[in-house]
Amino acid sequence: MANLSNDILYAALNELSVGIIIIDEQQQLVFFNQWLSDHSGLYLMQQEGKPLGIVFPQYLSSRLSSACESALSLGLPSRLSNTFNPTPLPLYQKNYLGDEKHLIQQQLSVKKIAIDSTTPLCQIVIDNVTHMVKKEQTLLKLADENKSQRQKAEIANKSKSQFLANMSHEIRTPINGVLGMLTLLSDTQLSKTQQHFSKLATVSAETLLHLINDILDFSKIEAGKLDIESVAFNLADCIDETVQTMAIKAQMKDIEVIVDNTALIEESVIGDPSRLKQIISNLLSNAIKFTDKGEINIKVKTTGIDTTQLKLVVNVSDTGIGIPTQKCADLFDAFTQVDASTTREYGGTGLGLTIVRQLCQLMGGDIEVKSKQGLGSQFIFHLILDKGEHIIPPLKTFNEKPVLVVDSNLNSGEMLSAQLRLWGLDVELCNAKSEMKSLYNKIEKNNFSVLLIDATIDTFLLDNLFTSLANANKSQLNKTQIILLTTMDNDSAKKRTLLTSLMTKENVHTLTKPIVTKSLHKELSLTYSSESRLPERINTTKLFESQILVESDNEQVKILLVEDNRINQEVALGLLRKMGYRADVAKNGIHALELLQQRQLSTPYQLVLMDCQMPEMDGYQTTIAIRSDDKYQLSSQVNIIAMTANTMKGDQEKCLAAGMNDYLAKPINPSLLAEKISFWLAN
Amino acid sequence: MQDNLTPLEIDALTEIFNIGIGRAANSLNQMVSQTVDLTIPEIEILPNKEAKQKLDFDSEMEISAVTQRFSGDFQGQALLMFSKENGLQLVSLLLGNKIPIEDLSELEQDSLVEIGNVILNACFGTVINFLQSSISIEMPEFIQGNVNKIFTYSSDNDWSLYIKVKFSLPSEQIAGHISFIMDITSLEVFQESVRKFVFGITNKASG
Repeated sequence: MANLSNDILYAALNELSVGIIIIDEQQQLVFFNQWLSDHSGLYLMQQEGKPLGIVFPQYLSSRLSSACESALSLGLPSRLSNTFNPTPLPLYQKNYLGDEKHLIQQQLSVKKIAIDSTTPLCQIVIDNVTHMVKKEQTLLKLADENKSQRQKAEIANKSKSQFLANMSHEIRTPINGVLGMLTLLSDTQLSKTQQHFSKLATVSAETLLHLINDILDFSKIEAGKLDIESVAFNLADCIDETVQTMAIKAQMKDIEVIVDNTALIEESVIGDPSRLKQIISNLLSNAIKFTDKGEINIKVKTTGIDTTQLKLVVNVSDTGIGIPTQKCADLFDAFTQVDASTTREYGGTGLGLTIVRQLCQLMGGDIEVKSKQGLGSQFIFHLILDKGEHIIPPLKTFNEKPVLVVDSNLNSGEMLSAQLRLWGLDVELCNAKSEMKSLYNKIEKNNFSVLLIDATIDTFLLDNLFTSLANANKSQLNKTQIILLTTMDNDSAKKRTLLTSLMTKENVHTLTKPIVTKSLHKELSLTYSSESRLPERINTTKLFESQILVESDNEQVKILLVEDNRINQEVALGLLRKMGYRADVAKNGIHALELLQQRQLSTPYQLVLMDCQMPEMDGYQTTIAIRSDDKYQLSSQVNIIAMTANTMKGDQEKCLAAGMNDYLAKPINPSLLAEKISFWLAN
Repeated sequence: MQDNLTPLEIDALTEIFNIGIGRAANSLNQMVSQTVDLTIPEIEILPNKEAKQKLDFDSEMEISAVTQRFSGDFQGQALLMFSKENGLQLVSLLLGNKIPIEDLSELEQDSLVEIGNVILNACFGTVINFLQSSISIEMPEFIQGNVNKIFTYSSDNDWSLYIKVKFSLPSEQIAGHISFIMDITSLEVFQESVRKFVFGITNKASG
């Protein structure tokens, strides 16, 4: 320090890239450096000794002057920020002196210089923060823009979702009309060609409905709006139900559907059963669609992860056309099918697998595909489920004599045997095609407790089998029990006659394919216990009973149909008429309430079918009025079934919350309608 | 510590700090378009450890603070602390920002430093003017972090003159906390000067 001369210090101060002003106790200018001179246009020589308020008039009574005062009198240092004091002194960018647009943005530090030998001085240090201010302004502007963009995007997204929800509702309503009318049309006198056309129209309308559902799901997932539920359910039942509903389509194509539940250990789980069903039915419907002969295998496996969670793995494999290996990767991308021609031949939106994968991922899993062209495909998905609290006891084991399984399909036979062995039974498996000779021998030895016979085997073979069985049984006291494994459809007339006659025999039971664990176990238990023969007998006849709902004594039942759309009125009335019901029609809630009130003293309505969205008074309001208004006291407990095209989540809750008893989604499914009506009329 | 300040002495201290803080409010009102009223509802002398707990900040909570060191008759560190949210809110309100901000930019940190500087200077001014103490004070600095980071430069053995500050703006009430952290020796000197001052005024009053 001692080596530094005043000249050096003076030069150094002048070289600084900040402004420095030094004033004395009377706030008179002692010094300012070159930087300040450059940016103010003033020369120290001319200003030295002048009060700072004279040099810079705006200094007078400014925040800077009070800061200098506190520094000089009390030694308090001050920081003057740019935000509160943007330009405390008239300083400009070099070469723009006096130009207000080029004022320097400043940040000031004020501090007392305390040197014992002299009277106190005060130093003002000025930082040029212009570029920083500009930078922050730019950032702020960007942030603002970003924010308003984001808000716009959010609003747009919201209205998109709303639009989709509305569209789904709006489109469903007319499809409801189309499907309903087609159902009615098909019951009228039609020529063969007309029947064919009407069937095609029905298929198209159903496809359209399916498409809309897919698109709605897809857009919900895209918007992150799809909620995965968390409810307790039985895993085995859920899978079995799904497979059974899909299997009829497979059986129509003569494709065997085989479910293997033997590795399903945990049955009681918590998760979203409807989404699981959606995944499985999607994969199954693909498998059925792309398979022309052979079989579809569904293997289910659960493994525990820890005490609370388990992993479900489902493998759906088919013997269909397969997928070229290089195409497997983008199979799960939206709007991709193997090639455009596939879409044309087999139909579909190309959204199914995308939805499936996203659903799997939403449930903590994923899906993969293994396939070779021409050799079939395997879709393997897994997901995570919570273990349910409810413990389901394992199915009872049997200790009866061995069982003989006669099956035409190798896989199905083996699966069946494996399942039976799990229950402690000895099983002999016999292929109906290749081992016919030894089969007769086995039967004649008659060492079996039960015979499980695939009813799809050759009619002649089946007939022979029963004949030899009858012979063998002659010498026995206890007849060998037989469980016939039948399909839901597709039997030839000849086969049907044979089956019908076989089924009247008292030692013959039937089980519908695909064989699921629960019903197999139940049937076996029934077979082993003789007392349950009679009710089973009645059930078996149901198999060939026509599905058409018969006219009955439903005429006097009084139903009130509340529906504003004229086409939908006709559809509903037509369906009701077909079931033998008559109904009055109200065109909105107000009208419905009038009718209810008129009729409640004489012959009150027993059931109300209520549309939800109607002009003047909607279904929810109407229901609340019926349930709570004293005017309708005598009808206040009438059963109300909601019919709505709204299928957004929460609609059902909304209906129930309004006091309705049940809920039917439009387009109305005739058999579901029949089921619900008979249920609620019985209640 | 054997000689705590009597309630009378604490009252006197509160009184003079309120005068000082009133001046700070005047300065703030000149700086900003808002009307700001500052009051000190509470002054306490207590161990640093207890003062930290008194702050009512969760150990992981982000704190924005302005600090100035001082030395002379007594020495230590003065801190003005806000929860990060309150600090942001105060700056926004004083700057008249319409859009709520999520983080202090560098320039906005400087504004908080200036606000803190005005308030802490008012406290220092009070001490120098009324208690006739001779202390020299450093430039203010900004610190942000959790409570431990803020108190890095003080130990649990230190003492704290804890002052709660209430910022009353037309729309909002914001709480700030001031801690003058000193070691025990400095604290004794400080308390002695408070006693002298109170003795001075009570004598004047009775004489």
